Order: sequence, then C-alpha cells, then structure tokens
Amino acid sequence: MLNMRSTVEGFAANLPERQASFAERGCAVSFTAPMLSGARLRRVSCGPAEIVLPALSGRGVYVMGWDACLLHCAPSLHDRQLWDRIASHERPTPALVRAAAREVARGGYAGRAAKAAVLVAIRQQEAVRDALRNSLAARLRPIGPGAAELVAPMVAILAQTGTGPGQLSDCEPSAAMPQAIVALEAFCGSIAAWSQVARTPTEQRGAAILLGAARLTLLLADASLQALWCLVADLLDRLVRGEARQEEVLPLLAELASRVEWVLDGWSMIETLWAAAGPAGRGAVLPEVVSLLPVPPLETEHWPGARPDWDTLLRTRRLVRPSPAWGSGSQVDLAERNEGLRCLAP
Amino acid sequence: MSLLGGQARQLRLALLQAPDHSLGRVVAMLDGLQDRSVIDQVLDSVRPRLRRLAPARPLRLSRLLFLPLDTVIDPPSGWRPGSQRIPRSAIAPIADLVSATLPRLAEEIAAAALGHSHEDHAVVAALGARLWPAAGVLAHTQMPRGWVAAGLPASAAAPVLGLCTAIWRHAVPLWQARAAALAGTTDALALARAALAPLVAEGAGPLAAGLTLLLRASLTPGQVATLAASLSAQIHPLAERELTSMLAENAAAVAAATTAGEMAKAAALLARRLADLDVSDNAAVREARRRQAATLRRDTSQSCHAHFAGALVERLLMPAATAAAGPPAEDAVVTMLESAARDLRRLEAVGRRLGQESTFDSTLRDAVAQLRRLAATPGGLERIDIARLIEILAGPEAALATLEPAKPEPAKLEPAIAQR
Repeated sequence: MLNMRSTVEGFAANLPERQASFAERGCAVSFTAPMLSGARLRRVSCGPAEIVLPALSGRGVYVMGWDACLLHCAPSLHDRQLWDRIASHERPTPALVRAAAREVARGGYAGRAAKAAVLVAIRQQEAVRDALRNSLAARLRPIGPGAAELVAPMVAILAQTGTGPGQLSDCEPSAAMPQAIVALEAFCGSIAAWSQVARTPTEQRGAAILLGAARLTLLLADASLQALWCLVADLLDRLVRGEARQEEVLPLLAELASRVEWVLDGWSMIETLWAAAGPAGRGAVLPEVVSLLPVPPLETEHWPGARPDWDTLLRTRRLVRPSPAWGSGSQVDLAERNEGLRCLAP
Repeated sequence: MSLLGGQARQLRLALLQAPDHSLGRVVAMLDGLQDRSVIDQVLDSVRPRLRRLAPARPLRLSRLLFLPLDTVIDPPSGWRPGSQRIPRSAIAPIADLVSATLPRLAEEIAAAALGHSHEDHAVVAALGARLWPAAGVLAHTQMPRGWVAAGLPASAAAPVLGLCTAIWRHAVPLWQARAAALAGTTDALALARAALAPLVAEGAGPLAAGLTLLLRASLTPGQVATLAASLSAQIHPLAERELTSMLAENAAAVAAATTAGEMAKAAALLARRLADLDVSDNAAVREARRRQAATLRRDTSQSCHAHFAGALVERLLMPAATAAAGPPAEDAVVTMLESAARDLRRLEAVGRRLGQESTFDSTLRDAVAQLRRLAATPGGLERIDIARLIEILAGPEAALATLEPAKPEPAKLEPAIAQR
C-alpha cells in the first residue's frame, strides 16, 4: 500500500477546485477497482483521454493516462471493458458513460447482481422512451411528414429528463433525471438527520458540507430541469404553429438537457455510498464521500438564476481531510463494495 | 427458571453440539431469561466459542456494569481468592448490590438499555457514563447479598468489590480509550495514557485490569504494554505476560477458525498486532517480542496456507467444476462461488503478510490453471463467470487471458501489492 501511495503521488496535479467547464471537470465513471473509485474521465482540447482521481491527501487530484492506470491502479476486467468503450469519444458526456457502463455490466463484468440490476434499469428506460415517443408523435402530428424526423432525436435528447409531469401525457413513467433529483432530496434529508447525531465536530462539519453542496446542486439541477420542461412545452407549441424551425429546436433542447445531466453527474455514487454504509458506517464513509463532491464548474456562474457560494463551502471542505477509501481499506472489500454500488445505481 | 441437574447437563450437551449459527440464537434465547444463576454455568461450557463468535448480547445492568471489567472475569472454577480477578459468580450479587444502592438510576438504566446490545457502542458509552461513576463510590466494605450462597468466601467480598469500584471510578476514560484502541485512531495511545495514569494510584490490581482491557482491544498492544511499563515498573512483567498470552490466544483463534473468512479476519488482527511489537526501549524485551513474533508468524502462516489450500479445492474448485458440468448456473450459485473466492483472497493476502509467499504463489498458480481449463469448456458457467473467479482470486491480469482464448498465456499472478 505504501508503494502504491508513493507512486500515485507522482501524478498529483494542482488543478483548481472549481474547473472552468464541465468538460474539464470530466464525467464520473463507475469503475469498480478500489483505486479508481471516484474517477472522472476527461478530454481537454484535442489531447488524449485522462483519468482524474481524488488525491489521498484530500487536497488536489491525480491526473493519469490509461497506461499509468494499468500500471498503478489495477483496473478490473470491468474497468478495462468500460475504458475501451468510452475512451475514444471526442466529447464524453455523462449519458455516454452511463450507457457504456450499462453495456459492460450487462456483459456480467460487474457480477450477476449488477447485470440483473442493469437489465431492470434498461427496461425502465425503454418504457420512458416508448411513452415519450408516443406522446411526442401525437403532439407533433399536426406539423405533417416532418414530425417523424423530429421525434427520434427528441426522444434521444429527452429520454433521461422526460418532459415534465402532465406536459405531454398524464401517465408518463418517471425519467432518470427527475428520479435523480428526488434521490438527491432524500439524501439531503438523510444527511440532515444524521448530522443531528454526528458525534465529532469533524463529522458535523462534514455533514454540513455535504448538505450544503447537495442543496446548492438541487437548486441548480431543479432550475435547469424546469427550464428544459418549459422550453419543451413552448417549442412544441411553436413548432405546431409553425413559428419555430426544426433545426433550431434540437440544439436548444440538447443544451438544456445536458445541463441537468452534468449538474447531477457524480451524485449517485455519493448517494449509494451513503446508503450502503448504513447508519453505523456513515462516520467512516464521510471522508470518502466528501472527497467525491461534484463541484459545479465556473461555467454555471453564467447560467440564469442565483449564484450559490461554492467558495465558502470549498474552504470548509479543506478542514475535514477528505480522503478516498483505498488509502486504508481492504482492496477485496472495496472491490466488492464498488460492485455492490453498481447494483444500487445501475 | 431453575434447571434440574439432568436438564442442565442436557442443555450443556446440546449447546456443545450446536453449530455456530444456532449457538448465537440459543444464547440469545437464554439471555432473555431473568434468572441467570444456572444459565451462567451452562454457558461456561461454550464460552470459548462465544468469545470467537461474539454474538450480540442484550445490554442488561449487570452486563453494562461489568463491561469495563470483562477481561478480568474468571469462571468460578478457575478463580482464586487474592488473584486480583473477579469470579463470574460474583457478578449477580454485586449487580444486585448496585441496584439496591442506586435503585432509581438502576431502573432508568435498565429502561434505557432495553432493546440494545453490548455492541451498541454509543448507548454503552452514554449509559456507562451515568452508571460507572455512581457505582464507583459504593462502599466496598459491604457484603453483597447472595455472596456466600454463590459459593464465594466472605473474605473475598471486600477485595473483589474494591477492584470493581476502582475500575468504575475510571471507567469512562478507560472506555473511551478502549473505543479508540479498537478503532486504531491516531489518539489511541494518548487516550490510553490518560486512562491508565490515574489507575497507578489505585494499585496494581486496578492498573492490571485497566491495562488488560486496553491491551485486548488494541491494534497496537506492544505500544500499550510499553506505555504501561513506563507508568509503573511494577506492572512491566504482567504487561509482557499479558501481551504474550493475548498474542498466543490470537494465534490459537486463527488455527481454530472454521472458515476462510473467519480465519482471514483472525489472522489480519494478529498480523496487525505483531507489526508493532518492536516498540520498546528495553533491548531484552524487544528481542523476546521479536522471537515470539517470528514463531507466531511462521505457525500462523502455515495454518493459513493449509486452510487456504483445502478450502480452495473444497469451496471453490470442486463446486466450480460441478457448476460448469451442469445446466446454466443460477445467480445464487455464481454469487456463492464469488463469495468463496473473496474469502480465499482475503486469507491469501493476510497469509502472505505473515509469510509463506512462495507457497501461496504455487497453490494459486495451480488453482488459476484449473479454472482456466474450466473456461475452455465453461458449460453451466459463463466464461465471464470463470474469468471473474480468477480475477477475484489472482487479479485482473491473470483473468484477462481467460477472456482471450485465441491468445492463451502462461498463468501470471499479479503481485497483489495493494494488499500488503
């Protein structure tokens, strides 16, 4: 362990705690190898894909290429398959990474339980797509033959976000992003309750940071989703009335839909870690959870709405010594745990 | 409840023959009985197993009261007056005395403890902080009711009660230090010093009792023994004796483990404790400890490897071959195989830390080769199932070849450095 610790320290990079853009922050990747817990994949400019890992010290990150990961981080069979599917994308996004992770888990690389969980998630996603396809087709029928061309890409864009309750259909199954917002709200409740029984000042401070970050993220995610749903309703009306051109609609929708995905990217790992730890293990998992906090990049400052004070939160985070789990835990246990997390968030 | 001699014998026999998973349930049922006078005798026959299995026990007033004294409690047959230890048969009379002297507090504690077990650490700490200091001011000149009836000599009442009250007076910092020792936190040694230092003034018995409590909880017992010796030269021989005896018991627990997972856990604890034995200013002590550590490492790693080799065949290779030869395996079968492989990997990792690296390498290499042969015609298991078993057992590098049948490679074990 000491050898690994000193070796990876060579990849320490002093990146700013708040990156300029989501692309620089990278997408959360659900690798199962303990040393790759909390990894993000990013591709800056035209350079090769990089892995960004939380540093053991709790300050800064490690930035590594895949060859270095193979040498130092013992990626699992699952991780190697996943990397093969995501590394070549020029602009990796959370949706692309999630789809690839599901493909790999469906192949059994994260175990039978994760495979079963992914099959259920895929069925749910298909149900959302079918409902969305039917609703959009019905809504856009008045615009004539061009409707069919518009429906497929709109379904692809809106499959994760849905179109909002009661917008197109009263019985549309809930899409992944609204569900993720509900899960984040539930996480806030759990953190708030736990902070009441947290024993040490460090635990109390850690809980306050998590709660603050989750609430700020909720504001941002909720506002982005509401904006998207309003836009969908408005654009559909305008399309039907012939006041909007089809080629304008899709980029607008794609931009807003991707905002929700990026804002929530990485939170499901935190929520599942927290849930899996159970009440007795929450104090122990806190440093790892705090080390994984997905901090929205500076580009969100230009979005409409309030300007949350992330800087204060980040200053406080430095006091709780965030740390990834692989620095102290058993690798066999952590690998098993990480595969278990894949079942909770397929 | 009272048991006739024949019933007690039958119950004792049944407990001795009960498998581990049943024993915990039977003990939980017995723990629910109000009158424990006969039950304690029945349980004496399975106490070593209970210590190994450590089932959660209901948090009663008597259990809470004696938790800080747990390591100096002897079975009545093994206890000798003047030994600075406590016979188990003294627990009920002393607990009754505390209840009678502090009736209101005893009632409140009993009500608050209801539904909790001795493993609810926060509850134990909170209720103990109320009970122990109050019990610590009891006059130890009193004769607890039922003392003589419990077969104890009247002359032993004052010294035993004196030992109890001395520990209770310092039990709150002792318990905090014990929690830190168990968790291996960075302040564990500082808390141990703060808890033990005031016990020096209480005399050798209480200091020894406090030391034993911390030593047996500590992940770094060598440092705790050295700390105790620095506080009192008188305690030094006892501290070393206690350390030696505890490590020998840890090694015996490894050898007695019946599953790979249990053995890995016991061996990991021993390996962790052996790692800090060198910490002493005294060269003779250092040398004696080093010799003991070397012997324990050698013997324990041999036990680990012997169990590993046997369990590998019995729990993994044979069931995997059976599953591969049958119809498509159910998820539960594959999950069970993976669980066995994980336990074996844990055992192998700790066995290597203790020694026998090359022996483990060779056994593992053979196992990987056998699993690869299964992967060539996987049958009831999918190829990925077998690859994952190899991955869990020997690492992803060793498993890669299983997924690339066109380019077979010789069995290669990854160094598993992350485990060491």
